[in-house]
Amino acid sequence: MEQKALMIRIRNGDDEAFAQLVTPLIEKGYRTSFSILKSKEQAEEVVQNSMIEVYRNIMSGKEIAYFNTWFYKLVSHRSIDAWRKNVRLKESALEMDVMTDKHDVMESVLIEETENDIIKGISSLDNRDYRHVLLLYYYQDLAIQEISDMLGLKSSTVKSHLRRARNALKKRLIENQFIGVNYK
Amino acid sequence: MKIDESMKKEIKEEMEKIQAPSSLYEFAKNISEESEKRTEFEKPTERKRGSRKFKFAVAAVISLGVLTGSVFLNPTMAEMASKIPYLGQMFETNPIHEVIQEALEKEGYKSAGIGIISGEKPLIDLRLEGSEEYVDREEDKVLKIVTGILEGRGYDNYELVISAINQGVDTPPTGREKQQMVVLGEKLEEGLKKAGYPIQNVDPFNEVIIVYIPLVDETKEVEIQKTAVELVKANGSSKEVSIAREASYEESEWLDVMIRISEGFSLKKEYQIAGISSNYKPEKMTITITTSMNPSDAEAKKTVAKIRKEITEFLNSEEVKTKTANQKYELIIYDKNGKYFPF
Repeated sequence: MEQKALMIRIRNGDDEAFAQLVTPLIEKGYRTSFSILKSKEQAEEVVQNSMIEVYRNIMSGKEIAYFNTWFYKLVSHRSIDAWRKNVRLKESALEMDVMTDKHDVMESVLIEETENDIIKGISSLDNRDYRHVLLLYYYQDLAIQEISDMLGLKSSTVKSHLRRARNALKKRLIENQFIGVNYK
Repeated sequence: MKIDESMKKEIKEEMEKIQAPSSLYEFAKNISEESEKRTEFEKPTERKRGSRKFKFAVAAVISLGVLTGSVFLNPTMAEMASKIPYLGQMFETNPIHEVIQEALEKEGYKSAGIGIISGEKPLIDLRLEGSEEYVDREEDKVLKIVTGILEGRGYDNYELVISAINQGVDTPPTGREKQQMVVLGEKLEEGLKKAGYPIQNVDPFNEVIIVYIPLVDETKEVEIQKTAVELVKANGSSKEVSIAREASYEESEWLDVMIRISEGFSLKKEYQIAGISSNYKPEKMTITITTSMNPSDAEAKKTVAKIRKEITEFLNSEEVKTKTANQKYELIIYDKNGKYFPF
């Protein structure tokens, strides 16, 4: 209710109301963006642009039901967009060498029923996607389907990343436990 | 669920180290002015799924064949195999992924795919059809089967990950959508062929349309991509197009050879392989092996000699020569830093 009232004030030209609305969310939004982009400047720009997008949406009369969730999703989305853009720029320079000239044979040993799955299979093992999946799931509390839409991955791939991470952590915890036992 | 909580806690702690700059709060206070200032700011367009280029990946696709039993598991054949040089044995049996697939199927598991990703420790990514709970339950049994096969071949250098694939997760296109995709694919293929391009196939069934072409030079590839995008647009679709080079017959024969080399070397610690790559040109095949050794390492000289000997013998064997039509090849072995060994 509080947020709805703030939105009405914003529409009446009250900038302070906008600051009140987004200030509690800036920290978490920025952290998410920074972890994706690994650049202070870019993360700041993404959060700024997101705020403008939010502002314009409010001004245009858009009904936003769950504002916090919506804001975080928007920032995550825009951060991923910016990150993809970075990757594309890098890839277009390297692509000819890496992708077409140097065929990595082990990567070619991939079988799946459909070719598309294979393609996604390779990308699914990309560590960057892996990192983003963890961040969006555990820090942004997004649902698997939302993450899969945002990152353009199959939901099974998202699940598989989560599984890998859980297994890795499980292993680490068990190892730590062993150390604990030995000390006794 | 304890593990999820621990994960959440760790990530949260990690994130708390990041501090948002105070300028962002100032920005929020002046939002109307900032919004005014950025008239050029436009909402970014939504990223389409799968927009990355997967040229190579598609070219290197190996379709799943019907398997007729593993020769390697047959003791008589195994005994015979022991008399053949190491890499030479590779053709006496099916590639490892096929053997694993078959063994799992025999035990009633449905494998949706096995990926082997190279590296100093190759990652074997095995995906089983079924729910996560099902895979969790069966994991130990599957691990036992797969590890048994790998050990049977003497492989000791890999990481094995098993995960679940729930085939029903993604909504399949409806009949009408599918029909539209077919029509778009046909129109695209027809248009490209009419424009005089050597198109081998068009796959319109994904978010990104894939156009398969034979080996052409780079400029032509760019040209084909551009024409394809225009044709797709002209046909009322906003889908992206990716170009994939289809391997020629000769190249796929080489690929088969390369898979054996790669499997044989990468999955064994003793060879200390960091990566194996190849570059096929009609005039020559170049095989590049990057090791994880320094020239000064005690075993380096011996290991490099062994790799060289094994590969040369293998490539000069009648079986391989028939496959590759006795084509010229070059073998390059690099040290850890991508430099030639001095021996």
